[in-house]
Amino acid sequence: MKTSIIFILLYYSLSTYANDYTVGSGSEYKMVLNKSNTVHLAIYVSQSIFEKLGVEMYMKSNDMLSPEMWQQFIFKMDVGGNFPLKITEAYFQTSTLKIAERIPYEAMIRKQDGITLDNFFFTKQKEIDKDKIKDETIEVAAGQIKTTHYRKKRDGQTIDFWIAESIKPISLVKLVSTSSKKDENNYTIELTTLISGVRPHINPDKSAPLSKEGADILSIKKH
Amino acid sequence: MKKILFAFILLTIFNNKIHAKDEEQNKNNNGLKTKDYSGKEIGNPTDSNAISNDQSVDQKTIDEAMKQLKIYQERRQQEQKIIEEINNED
Repeated sequence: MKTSIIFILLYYSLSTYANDYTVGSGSEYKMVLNKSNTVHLAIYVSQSIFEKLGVEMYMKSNDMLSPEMWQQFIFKMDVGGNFPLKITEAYFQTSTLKIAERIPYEAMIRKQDGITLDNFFFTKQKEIDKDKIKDETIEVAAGQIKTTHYRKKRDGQTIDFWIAESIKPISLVKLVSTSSKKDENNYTIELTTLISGVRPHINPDKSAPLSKEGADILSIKKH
Repeated sequence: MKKILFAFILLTIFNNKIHAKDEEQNKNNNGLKTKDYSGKEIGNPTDSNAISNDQSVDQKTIDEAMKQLKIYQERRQQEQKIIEEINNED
């Protein structure tokens, strides 16, 4: 499962709206990769202390041989600054790893093809509005929701996404990514339910440095 | 490796059972579906020791896990065979 996809979701949805972040609240999604592999995806607030915001994400594929994965990102909020949110720490754990491991900063910002995290670094409302298509009411598994439809294109990849301020705190309602170049960039994400009271799985204080096994799972080179 | 995989399969099945029981969907005032986890984790709700001490994993579950493990092993063998064939061709 691609780490970059999730970075996009988090950064966009969290930086667009200034919400109250209740720990344990979030959204669950059904993600379909390449029209067949279904992933249960959940994103929720893991901590909210002063300017620090923690967001955890849970993923489990319908393929029983794929491990469950948790990822947690710590954002530093800079109200009034040029960049409202900045990722300062990242952790992950799978059901095959005994304890959570730290994701190195270089791995978080590595260059990838298509639409990536830096395409969602908005500092002004008019930058976000450039991608706006129109306001739409759409029907998803969670129900009927008033949203704003946006579209981004780059390197043969197109991402259509629907955002609703009412879907606090994650805001994302639906996302459709298509690509003629890379199969892995063909996926859809749809809101299935709003969630509350979730206990985070990862405790950053008990995390370990990235191991070789962890690096292999994330497909990154270990220095 | 086999042990790890087997433990993982069991864990996955076990988790699914727990969540099927515990999670009920409701609708909030906006008409949207909501779910309250009441302080529980999503996914693995217990640690590995708790799983290994639990006696509720029945034979049917173990048989299903073994079946999945066999499928996985066969798939790996086939992949290995293809890789060897390609290497030999080269």
